[in-house]
Amino acid sequence: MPELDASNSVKPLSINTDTSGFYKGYNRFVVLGAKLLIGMLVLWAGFFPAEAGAAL
Amino acid sequence: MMFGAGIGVGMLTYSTAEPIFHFANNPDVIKGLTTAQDPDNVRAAYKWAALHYGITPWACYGIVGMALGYFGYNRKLPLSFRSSLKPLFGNLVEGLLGDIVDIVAILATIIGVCVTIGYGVSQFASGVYNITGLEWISSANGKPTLMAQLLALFIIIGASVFSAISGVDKGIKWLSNINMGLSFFLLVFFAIFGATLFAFKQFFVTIWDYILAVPQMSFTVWPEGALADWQGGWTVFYWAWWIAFAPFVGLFLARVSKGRTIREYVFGAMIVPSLMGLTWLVLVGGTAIDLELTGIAQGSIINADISAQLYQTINLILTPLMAKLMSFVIVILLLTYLVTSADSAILVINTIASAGNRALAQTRHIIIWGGVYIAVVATLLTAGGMSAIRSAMIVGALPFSLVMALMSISLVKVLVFGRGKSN
Repeated sequence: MPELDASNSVKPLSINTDTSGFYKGYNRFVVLGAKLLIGMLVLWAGFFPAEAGAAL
Repeated sequence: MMFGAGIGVGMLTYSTAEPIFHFANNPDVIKGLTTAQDPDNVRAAYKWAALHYGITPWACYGIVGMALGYFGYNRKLPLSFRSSLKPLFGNLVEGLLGDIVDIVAILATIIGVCVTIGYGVSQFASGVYNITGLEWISSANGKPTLMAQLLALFIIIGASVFSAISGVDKGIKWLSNINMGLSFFLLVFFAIFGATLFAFKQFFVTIWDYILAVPQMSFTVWPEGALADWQGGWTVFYWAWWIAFAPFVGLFLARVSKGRTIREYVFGAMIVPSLMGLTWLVLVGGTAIDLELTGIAQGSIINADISAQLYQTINLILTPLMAKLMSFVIVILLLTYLVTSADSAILVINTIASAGNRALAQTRHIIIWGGVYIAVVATLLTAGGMSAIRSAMIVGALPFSLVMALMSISLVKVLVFGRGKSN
């Protein structure tokens, strides 16, 4: 039965992170990408509530 | 904490509503196999309620948590969603593909928590109305007014941001202990004052019916007609909700499962919470159905707004003063569930965005995500009410369902074919 904390060596995964900005160690593309998409949803529902309400 | 964040608000809102709605209508009624609001429909009502609150949500959370935990702790990769796809895509997950996977996980988390907050603010406002009777809180049709929901939204998110800033070991843990205690108190209350014998019998009957019917219920898709409408409104909505919540709860499950075997994990993260959910449904929902069957409720629970059905049940079994006191307890419990869900989700989003490292988030970033929650829920509530939030969530959960499927394949590939290999 595999354990979730067993030690297996593996080639490390390198994820790009930033050292400054929102906080140390965040990924700029992920943070800004998520905020951009959510921002577009909010703007659409905020400026065109009737269309958004009908579409959703 | 796991139960509160994963399913708490849904259980509080739907523990009465789910069995009561299915008691009035479900696929067996539509097919003519049972009669609506008749004693012969109780088993069917619980069978369909168990489909939505049985093992399915915990299976969604469980598979994501297992993949994250296995690759994070066993394979020593960052505790990030992209890590669990490495066996399928190799080092491609280090770049744009991995970024997109993490963005999809964040979007699903935001929109899934927004549904929870949306239902929560409605029930919170209904609870305050049940206590105070203030007219501006409730509209003529029994639903909370938009103004009341928006005010509740600001209170809840404000408390969540404050809790998230204080950290997991302080605010979140403190709130989790409160909601665990109050949840137990509410269950004991219904065990003493509710339809306990009805619930006890129904618990075992439902498990039996559920086990027999779950493969057919899970794999049947009705393409059109009343059955398709019912399935779209209930089952598909729940699938989307559980999938949208999976990155959030899955990451949490992965963290608390470090050092456990997969067998222990499946038992603790899937079987036990499923049985707890069923206990909640039969005790709280069973009392409501019993009140309707015995004629005491006279349709007042069935015809109440979804946000008010639990309070209406309380009103029928207690004196007015005691009902107000119990409504106050429920409002506090709901508040702690909501705050726990929202503040945990904010920390999870920060974790996903920082390659699995949770210790780096700054106060201003927590406040920004709190503002995002307010903006999303407020604009969608204003645009189209809860139906708009529900539809946005189904769209938002869809991309993560693909990620979830790939995580499952990746995990199976490594567990079955790749044990001992380094990559």
